[in-house]
Amino acid sequence: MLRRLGIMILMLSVALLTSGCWDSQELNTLSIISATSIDRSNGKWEISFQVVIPQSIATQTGGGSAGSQSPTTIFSTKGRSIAEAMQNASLETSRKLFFAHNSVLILSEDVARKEGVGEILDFFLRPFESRETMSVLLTKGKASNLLEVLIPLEKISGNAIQRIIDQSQKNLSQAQNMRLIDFARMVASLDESAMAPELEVSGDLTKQSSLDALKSTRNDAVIKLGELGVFRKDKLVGWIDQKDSRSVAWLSDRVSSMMVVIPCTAKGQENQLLSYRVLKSSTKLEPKVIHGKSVIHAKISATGVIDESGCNLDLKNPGVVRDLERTISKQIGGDVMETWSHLQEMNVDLAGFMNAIHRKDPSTWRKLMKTKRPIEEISLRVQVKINIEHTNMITKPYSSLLKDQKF
Amino acid sequence: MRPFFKSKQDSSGDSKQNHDKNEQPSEFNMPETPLSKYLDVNVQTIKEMTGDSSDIIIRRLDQALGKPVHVAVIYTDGLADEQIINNSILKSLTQIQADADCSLDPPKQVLGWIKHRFLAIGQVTDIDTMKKLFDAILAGNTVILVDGTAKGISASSAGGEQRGVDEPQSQTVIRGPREGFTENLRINTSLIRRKIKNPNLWIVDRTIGRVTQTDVAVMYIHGIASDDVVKEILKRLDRIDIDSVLESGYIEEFIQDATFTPFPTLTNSERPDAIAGAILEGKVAILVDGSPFVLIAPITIFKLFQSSEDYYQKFDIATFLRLMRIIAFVFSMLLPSMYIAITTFHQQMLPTTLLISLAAQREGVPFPAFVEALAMEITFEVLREAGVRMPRAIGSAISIVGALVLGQAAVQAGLVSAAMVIIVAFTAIAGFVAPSVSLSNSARLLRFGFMLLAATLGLFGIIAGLMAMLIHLAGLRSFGIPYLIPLAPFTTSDQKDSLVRVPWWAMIKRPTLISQKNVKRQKSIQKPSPSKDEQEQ
Repeated sequence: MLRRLGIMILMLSVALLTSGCWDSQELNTLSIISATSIDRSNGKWEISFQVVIPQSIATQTGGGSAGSQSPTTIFSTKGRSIAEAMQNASLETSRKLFFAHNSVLILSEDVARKEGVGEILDFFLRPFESRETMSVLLTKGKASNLLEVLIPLEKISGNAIQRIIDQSQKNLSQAQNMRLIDFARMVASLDESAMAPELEVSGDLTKQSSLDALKSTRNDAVIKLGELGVFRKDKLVGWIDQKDSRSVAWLSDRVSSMMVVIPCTAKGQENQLLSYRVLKSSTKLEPKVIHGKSVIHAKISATGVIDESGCNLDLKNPGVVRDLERTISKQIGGDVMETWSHLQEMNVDLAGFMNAIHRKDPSTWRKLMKTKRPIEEISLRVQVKINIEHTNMITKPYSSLLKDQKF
Repeated sequence: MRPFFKSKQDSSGDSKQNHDKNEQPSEFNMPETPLSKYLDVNVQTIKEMTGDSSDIIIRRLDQALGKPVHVAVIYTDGLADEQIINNSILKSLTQIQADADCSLDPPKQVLGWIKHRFLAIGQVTDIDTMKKLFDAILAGNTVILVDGTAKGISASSAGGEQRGVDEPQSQTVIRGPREGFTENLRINTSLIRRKIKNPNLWIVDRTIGRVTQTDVAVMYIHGIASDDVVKEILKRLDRIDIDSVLESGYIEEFIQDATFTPFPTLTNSERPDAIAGAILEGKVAILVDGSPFVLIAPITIFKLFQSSEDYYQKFDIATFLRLMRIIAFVFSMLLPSMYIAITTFHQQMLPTTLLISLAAQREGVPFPAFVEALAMEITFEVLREAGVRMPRAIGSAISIVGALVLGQAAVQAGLVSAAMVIIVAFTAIAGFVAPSVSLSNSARLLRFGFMLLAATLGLFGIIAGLMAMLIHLAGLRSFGIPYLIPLAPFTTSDQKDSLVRVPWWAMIKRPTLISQKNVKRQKSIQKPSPSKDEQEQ
């Protein structure tokens, strides 16, 4: 019995000691990457990593006091392939690059336009360590510049960028947080064009990359979301502006909250504005074939509230409210149609029209796919139904109280 | 392939079975020799056999009951109650004048008179051998020998100094009885009998220990406890051949089902109410003289997570506490190993900010996480052991040193990370939650094994270890009862009192496998509700 037990323990410990531990990594041998950027220079890939310096972030007595050291540091490496560039990082870093917490992948316009994203996606989808939830972003300048910008309130700018996108998606329904896996799926999809939000630095970049920048109350440079990059196949083909990106959000049923600003309809008040906030909305795409032509019926319906009113309107009157709803509908419908013509020009399908046709009527889809520019063959009809739920705490505009004042 | 375990067949002939009770060394065989007719010879024999020990008191009288017979009163000082001996034995022997005639056979008659007429003591038995004589005086009884007859009588006079019934030290409750077992077997059985006033509460006695001759009592309710289990326990008790039994732990190791397991297959309690509850469920209690810890068998693992207080508190909080105990047990077993596995193998599992703050703490720590955890765990175990053994007076000194060394100095010196201190501290506290000390001990041992697995194989190792543990648990039996019942095998009716506790009126049946007869505990429909008279009004 004891002999048997002894042999068992011996076998077990040999098995553990010979096979175990091979991939163990102590925390202080890792460099945790929070953001990655990819550029091209002189025909080579240039990859930059934003590496978090833990002891400067956590308030702890162990390693140097927080605040004296920059929270992140940036490595840039070059190589003929992305993997080679990554391996070359060992020439200058003391620790193993750890990608599992990389939250942002920033591509320069140059890379996206000329090289395409195919190779990049392959590289980032392959290793088990990498996360498919990292956000894909584009930038018009050099991508690595964005990693240098310190963001006030936040220590790890990679995570901060991801939160900026989340915020704007939630409150403005403009830029969509494009996760790596969604982006890869959209690039590969037959029926959809991929898009990715653009990130830009406004202000003086060089001043905002030093810790001293955080000492002043006003920042020299900020990171902000800009336009929307549009892809055909795996290459960037163009940009659409913020107004168009909102219309794309309407068409693709991605509006969660949005501010619609319309000028007053009443006479003499054309300069005044009224703000309508969308609370919830839904969009239904109904593909039809009319006289041999593909038509998409987009039925947009939204519910919201009045957040601000400069117009002197009697909002207690249901008729007035109904007029207002009609005006807002008209504005949204007009915007959407305008965007549609832009999309047709670029021959991209951001709203998933082809997908809708494919599901409803595969034979029409097949016919369309044979044409050179299928998007131009489709015509769009928009029907917007707006509902004003309430006008918040006050009904009458405050300006109406000032109308008869003498002093 | 050559068999690795060749020795299996060889060792199967268990040496336990072919032992022989008669091979005892002769000097500890109590002499079965009969008493001598002559008092001097008897007294001499007693003195020789006890080495003339000072606590064996032999009081000789030249006259008893007014008759000219030589009498010896023999007892053990300290075990017998001097008051009883003085007032009830010596007084009656010396002061009462027997008026009856004793011309025929004075010694024999005097002995008869003492026994039947003059001794004011409840329990009196006859003695005719040396063995019985020693049994009697070493149990605290008083032996009266009369010259001229080869017989004696033993009068019960057991007493002497005893620890009183106190609050139990190891299992405290907020609500519930405050009494605990003592070192005296008789007091202990009486504590249980006071709770279960039923003639079906049976006690079977055994004497174990060649030298110590320790009394062991097996208590159960005839008609509820399974006969097979009782028979099996008695069989195992009879098989024990050991020179001494100083605590119930001796018995436990002899009768438990599996030795090579970190889990206890029978548990113990210091609380009479817990033992009474177990007996009422059909379990069997084994009481050992000299130990306040009473063994209970058979048990299941979920019983170890239960406190007797669970049945006194409201069922909702009792259920919550039971679940908390299980969670705490898992924490105390796995927390350090989970920390090691996640921080050295699976860093991607942590939220980014947590990872970074952990990484910041590990900055400058010289040892790998495993060594760090091992050092801290060993430090804690040393402190704990010191806390148990050290004299009360220096307790506070140890706790200050421990808290400072463990908590602050080690972190400030950069030897360990602050997170590790938190992990070890929480693990330690979670270990104290288990109501059964034997259960928290098993978690203590397994913790180190899991830490090794985590350090070599990560979470994979922990899962593999857990699987092995589960397989082991599923194979364990406690006196024939599967250890994981009522989860495996699944028993629906027992779910009411395992992980959760339902209100008392819903616990209609006793645990199924433990008590196979008389399973119904109470009337079925007793849910409190407004009485019918009130409803009609």
